[in-house]
Amino acid sequence: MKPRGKGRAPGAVETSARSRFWPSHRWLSSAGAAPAVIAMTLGLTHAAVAEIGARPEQPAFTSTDLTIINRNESLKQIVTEDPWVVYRVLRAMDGAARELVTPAVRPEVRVDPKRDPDLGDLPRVAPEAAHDLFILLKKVGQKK
Amino acid sequence: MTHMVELENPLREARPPVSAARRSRSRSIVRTMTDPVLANDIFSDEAAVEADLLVQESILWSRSVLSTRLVEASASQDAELCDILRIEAMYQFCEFFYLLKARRIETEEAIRRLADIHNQHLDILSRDPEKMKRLGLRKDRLLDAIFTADTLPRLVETWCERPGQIDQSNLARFFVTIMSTETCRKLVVACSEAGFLSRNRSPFGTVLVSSTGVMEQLFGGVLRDLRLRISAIQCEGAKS
Repeated sequence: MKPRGKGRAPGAVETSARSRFWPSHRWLSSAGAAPAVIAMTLGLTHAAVAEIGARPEQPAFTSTDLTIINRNESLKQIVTEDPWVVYRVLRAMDGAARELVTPAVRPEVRVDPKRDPDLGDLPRVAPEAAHDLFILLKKVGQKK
Repeated sequence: MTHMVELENPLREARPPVSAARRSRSRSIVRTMTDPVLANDIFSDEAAVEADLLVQESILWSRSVLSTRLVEASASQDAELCDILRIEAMYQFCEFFYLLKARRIETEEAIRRLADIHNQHLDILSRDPEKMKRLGLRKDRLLDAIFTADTLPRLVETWCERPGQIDQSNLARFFVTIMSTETCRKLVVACSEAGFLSRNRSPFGTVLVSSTGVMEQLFGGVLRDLRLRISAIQCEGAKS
């Protein structure tokens, strides 16, 4: 999978169509700047910052991404180990099935709605709910 | 929140009761699967398996071709937009608008009835923790999606103003069991750019959407093609 944001010039602002669908408007455009902003936002230690900074090609998290990471303990823990995993989880939450986290890289994390309020949508499966909605509309449309 | 007393499960009538014979058949299938000699029973009729495979192929084809046709019909060929039109949730999004049209849910009475049945469904679902867990839903999200004394009048008013017109947040309420609010918003934006939805801001600052009819036509076309394909398979099966 080709990582998004790769190769952008430092200081550049994302202006592609992407910003129309993701509400953050401004992207962290520089791979080099991302670790520092993540660290500032999440209040990470110096060691953790160094760890993030040492790894090449960090994902470009949006401000919305950072808010979600900060709000979910599991994501906060994983982002220092492997920010790409977190990035993929966030993109999966965006509904892009093609970018779902693969079992090979998925860490063993149990989603607890209290700790991870935004991850609750991830395991959602549609067939039963889709059938329910179909039946509801059928009932409304039935002639009396 | 509208107060509801002694609600009837809106899905109860629609689903036929499971007969004792059907229950027994289900148990028999489980026994068959655990018996190594009988495990391949479903595969013993080769012609039937061939026909089954053609049905499966048709179903997969229909899911795939809908994405292709949506992208082809899109007013913009922007790569990011086309990616969003291809996501799984788009199928359900199109299906919803198709069903509104096909079931002729157009009048004020119909939208009130839809909201009422939707509320009853969510109320019952919110008291069924097993099903909520199965669907990956939280109670607070379900309660947020119930049409209240505040939100219901706006839903009806918007609908009456222009049949089929709906507030984006109300649209997300109808989709609460299917997709997240964010996915719904993203699809609305994408469909608006593709020319499938018109999207305007109301004087009150809310976003109003209404279908241009393209999605319904495309979904209906795919459904009809699927039906014809499957009918043809049944004919071939009858010949053999």
